[in-house]
Amino acid sequence: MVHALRETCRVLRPGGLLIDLRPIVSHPPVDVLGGDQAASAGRLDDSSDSADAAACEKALRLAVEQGWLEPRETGAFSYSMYWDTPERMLEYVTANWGEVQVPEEVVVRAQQLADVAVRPVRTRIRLTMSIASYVKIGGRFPSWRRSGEQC
Amino acid sequence: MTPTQRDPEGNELRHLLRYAPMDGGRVLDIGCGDGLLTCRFAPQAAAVVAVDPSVSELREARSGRPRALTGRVHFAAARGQALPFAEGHFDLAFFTSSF
Repeated sequence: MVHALRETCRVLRPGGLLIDLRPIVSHPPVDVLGGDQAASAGRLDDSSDSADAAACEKALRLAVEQGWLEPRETGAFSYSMYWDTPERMLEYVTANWGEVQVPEEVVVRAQQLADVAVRPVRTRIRLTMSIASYVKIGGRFPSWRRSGEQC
Repeated sequence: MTPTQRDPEGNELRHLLRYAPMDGGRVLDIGCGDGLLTCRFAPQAAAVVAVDPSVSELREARSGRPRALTGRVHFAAARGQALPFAEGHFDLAFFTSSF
């Protein structure tokens, strides 16, 4: 991660902006929507992402300490994804989100809610995203590959 | 399996444009995935290079790119640790759910 940050700093012009945009580990809620109603089916287990998140934070702290980047703004916002059925949501999470788990009870509850909800029914996962901006401080950033470092 | 809708509220694009006014700059999108966000912000930029290590994601990204963005958005296979671009080439870089 540090290598990727350093490489990004190299290709950014001095004064250029780096934006870090990623989900916050927050056990995102799963809701079933029908008509004008939303009902909670529970939450995902995204605790497996904690190590990656910590590594990202560490890499960014190092980049700031090394004088490559200067922090500018941070914030958070809600990001929702919708599927036609709980099954499709489960398939997507399993195929695309690594070790994030949809607890069995959440799948069962979502299906129960979908069965009785007013059509059309949608299943929603609501992520909380973090966004942070950094300014690249002037100076040269030779490629780590050419500088002899190892990944 | 693809979600029927992703961020129809437009929160992501709104925040991105507030934090990173593009003003016609050169943008690097690292970890672009299927390119959905790339194509949403690209009209604000002069040129966008979007990279991802996944060939299948890039195939999807290229097929979903609107014709109007063909000359402005380029998708390429690359990892963040080894970016095949000149020093100081970009005005903005996005790490989107990647690193």
